[in-house]
Amino acid sequence: MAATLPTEPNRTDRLSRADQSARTDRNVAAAPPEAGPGPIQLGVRDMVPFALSLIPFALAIGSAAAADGLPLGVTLFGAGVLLAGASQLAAIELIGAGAGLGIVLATVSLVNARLLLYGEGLNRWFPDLARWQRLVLATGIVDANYLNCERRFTTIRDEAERRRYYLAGTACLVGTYVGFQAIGHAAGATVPDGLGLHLAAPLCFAGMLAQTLTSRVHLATAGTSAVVLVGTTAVLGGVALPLAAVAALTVGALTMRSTERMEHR
Amino acid sequence: MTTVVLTFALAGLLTYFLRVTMVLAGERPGLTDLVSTRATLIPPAVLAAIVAGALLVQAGRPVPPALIELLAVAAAVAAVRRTGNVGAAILVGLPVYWIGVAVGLG
Repeated sequence: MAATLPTEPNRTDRLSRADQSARTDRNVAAAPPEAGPGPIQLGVRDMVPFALSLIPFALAIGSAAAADGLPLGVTLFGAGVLLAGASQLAAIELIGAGAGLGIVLATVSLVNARLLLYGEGLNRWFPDLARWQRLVLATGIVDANYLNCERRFTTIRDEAERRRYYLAGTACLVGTYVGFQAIGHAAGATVPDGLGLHLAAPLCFAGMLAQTLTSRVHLATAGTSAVVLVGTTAVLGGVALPLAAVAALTVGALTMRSTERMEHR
Repeated sequence: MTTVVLTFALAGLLTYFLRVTMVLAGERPGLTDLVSTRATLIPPAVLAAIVAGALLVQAGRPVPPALIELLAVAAAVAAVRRTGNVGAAILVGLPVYWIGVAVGLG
């Protein structure tokens, strides 16, 4: 069999290809837009797994609030103003243990400090919105909608669609979160101990912790925090938690700096 | 109860301030980079303290961890590492706890 060498395409071939290309372009232009889910449907659909995973956590928060004697209205007020489960649960547990206002606020600030990062996303996603509108949207930003938006907004470019996506997903999440806290509160007194709902929060926190341990620096930070907390809690009581976090942050920052220096050498 | 409501209100204000800080500071590039890098240390620092407090402290005193709870947490951590979904922590951790209770570990 003779080997065939690639040759320069003749004029007819080139014209024919150009013609085909033009026809394809016209077909694409004439084709109706793809009828996929709209931004609202997409926002809700993307949020459903997160909302489902939030249900046991919301039940645990409602149940813990009922166990500490907080009325339903106060529990839901806490849910609404914080919109951050981990800090709400930490606040409920500290209030139940008789901790002072300063301790509760310090702990809530530390637990929610990660939210600092998420506001930056709003500036990138909605550059044309007025700042006050971004400040309003910031009210509901949490881990789940931040992660979803980061992923989806590589393909959703229109700001109005982005806004609908963000609001729909956030509404789905908040509705689930608040609704199931109310159910957990109502069921609080009847939930048997063997169900282990007291363990739901530590499990969630441990899961979140597992996701954050991405390097030796983060591991050292977490280890320091746990050791300082256990070592100082008998003496310092409620102050031990913020102190442990601050000590761990210091160790983590120092470790990070020395790692960066070694990498630069 | 007024104190509790006030505590939640102040905590909510603080949390809102955290959410909007970067919206307000967004136009200063150096600041966002610095905060972003260092802020990644905050979650492990805080979460480790909370988890340690839940498992290793009772009535303000350090205690040895309960085996059944350690097993549940270990399973939860493994599930989250594998799936990347925090919800898996409860979906796996609680059944492990229930099995532990059923076989008399707790």
